[in-house]
Amino acid sequence: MENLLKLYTTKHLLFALLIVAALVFPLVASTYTLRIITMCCIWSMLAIALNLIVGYTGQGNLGLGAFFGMGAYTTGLLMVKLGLNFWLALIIALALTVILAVLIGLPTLRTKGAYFAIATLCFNIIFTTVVIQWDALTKGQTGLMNIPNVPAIPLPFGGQIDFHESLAANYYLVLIFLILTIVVIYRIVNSLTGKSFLAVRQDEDLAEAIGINTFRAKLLSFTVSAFIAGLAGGLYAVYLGFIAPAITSYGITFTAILYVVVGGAATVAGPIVGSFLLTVIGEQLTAFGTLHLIIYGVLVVLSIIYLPMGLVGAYQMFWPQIWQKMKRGKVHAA
Amino acid sequence: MSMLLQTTINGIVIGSAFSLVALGLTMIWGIMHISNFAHGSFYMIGGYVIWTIITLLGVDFWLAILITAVVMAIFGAIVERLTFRPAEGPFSTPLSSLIVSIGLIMIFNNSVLAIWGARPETLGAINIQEFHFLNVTVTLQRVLIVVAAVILIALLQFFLKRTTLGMSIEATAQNAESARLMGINTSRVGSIVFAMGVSLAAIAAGLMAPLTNINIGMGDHMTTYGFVIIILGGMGSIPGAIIGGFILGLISSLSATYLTANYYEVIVFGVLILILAIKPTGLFGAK
Repeated sequence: MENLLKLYTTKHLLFALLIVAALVFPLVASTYTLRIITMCCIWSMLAIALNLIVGYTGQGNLGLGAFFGMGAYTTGLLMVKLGLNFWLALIIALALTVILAVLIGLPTLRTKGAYFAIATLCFNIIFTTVVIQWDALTKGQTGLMNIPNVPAIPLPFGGQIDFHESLAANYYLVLIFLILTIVVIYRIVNSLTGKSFLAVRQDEDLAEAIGINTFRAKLLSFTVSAFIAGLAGGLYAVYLGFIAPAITSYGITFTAILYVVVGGAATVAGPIVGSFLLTVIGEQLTAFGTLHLIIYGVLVVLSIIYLPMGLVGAYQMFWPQIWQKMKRGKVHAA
Repeated sequence: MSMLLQTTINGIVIGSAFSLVALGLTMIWGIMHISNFAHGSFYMIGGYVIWTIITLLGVDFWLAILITAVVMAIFGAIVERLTFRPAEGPFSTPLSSLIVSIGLIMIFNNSVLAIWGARPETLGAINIQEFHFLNVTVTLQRVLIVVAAVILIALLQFFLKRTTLGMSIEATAQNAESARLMGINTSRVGSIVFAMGVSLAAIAAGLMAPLTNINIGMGDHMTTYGFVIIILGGMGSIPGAIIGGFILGLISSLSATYLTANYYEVIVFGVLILILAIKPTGLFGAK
């Protein structure tokens, strides 16, 4: 019991330390590092979204890139074409993303396993094709440029948070949304709803038999996941100020799957660990020039061979044993 | 009328290539339960290999196809042993093979970029004699693509139904556990099937190479089309892959000509979602 208590408090202390580190980070980091870490936060949100439907609910959704793109493009278009401010644009974009998710989820979630994966993949290809071809609206392959910044937020004692000048302001904006997302996901997966998602993943027929409305559980997971992906997309659009059709493609989903599996599927921390680690490694490897994506690919294959449950999964599985062993060692030494 | 005929013929030609690609994909799925999303990259490498053999060795087109088929089969078997096989284990999930595929796509595409460069390559004029009938023009190569595909499919059927090795593949597909109990080396069967699948994709790329150019992106659509076909035909079903390949070839050719050239993919993939919404296990899917 005492050990458990110790583990529990260590975990919370670690979490608090991480938040403090994240908050003071812009004070010590260079512009370059801050840019990368801000992108890591956005990819983390996308990976968390994917983890909910793929990791926890066991549905191989290969169409998440379209929802990321839906959030990014709707936010961007509303700001550029209609001149709406970011917050209003984001709210409308998220509402539309949710509507799209329900419309796509209703027919595709009737299918299972590989069929669902391919159905959602097809939806994603359709979405990207429309974004590329609907030139008049989306500027096609050229991409949508000059998306304005988040409007400045005035502070109560004079001054304002200016998103145009300050990279740190953008970082904090993304960070706040990431922390909110983590809290929401943590609450969901530890709730009865979250348990019903897990039940669907384990055995859908059995879950149905014990009274879970599996279709509703899947649709809920699918929609919440799309909502978070759309949010990440909206932040991406306003942070970079430029979006191209490539960010709506299934390649984005594949990247997110990579982050989730390397970090650890069906764990809260996994997608975040995976996103940060792989983005930073990818950035470091650019020193190798043209070879860097080959090395990255090799690392990906090696990680799935030697760490199939992901870093966080392996930690959760092996750490308690190692910890016990270490303690016993100490007792013997004394 | 002649336009309809021309479009139909083009659909059958592209459908032959689709069938060969989908055959490999469906066999790999049926035997090994691997979603090989790198299949299109194998297709692309096949294109570059045949280009290299013809340009460097100056051999005949058909001999080059044969060499490509053998080289790619060996390459496929090695890749399977080094990546997909070790990734299988007590902790592996259906996502594991997808992750391996993503890694392989990165390795393959960037290696090809490093070796052959970004400039598209062309094979030059091969079998360009033209046939004219009913206001339709067909080049010899297009006819030969269909003939070669049909012969290959027939040979494959013969191999699977009439030879011991073929029958052990069928047995493994039906029930791997019982097949193992009957003394079939299912691990070896897996390697052979993967090698055959990769080889079929490479042959398809080789056959299509004289009609288009060879570039890094040539395989991207083949993977998605391949999966669409085997979903339509029922995962693991060989007749489904063959029929599905020709159906998709016709749909894409006809809709690109008659409906919309820009949005034809919307139609092709939209039809698939519609079919799955009505029949969630595909057109020919059993259960």
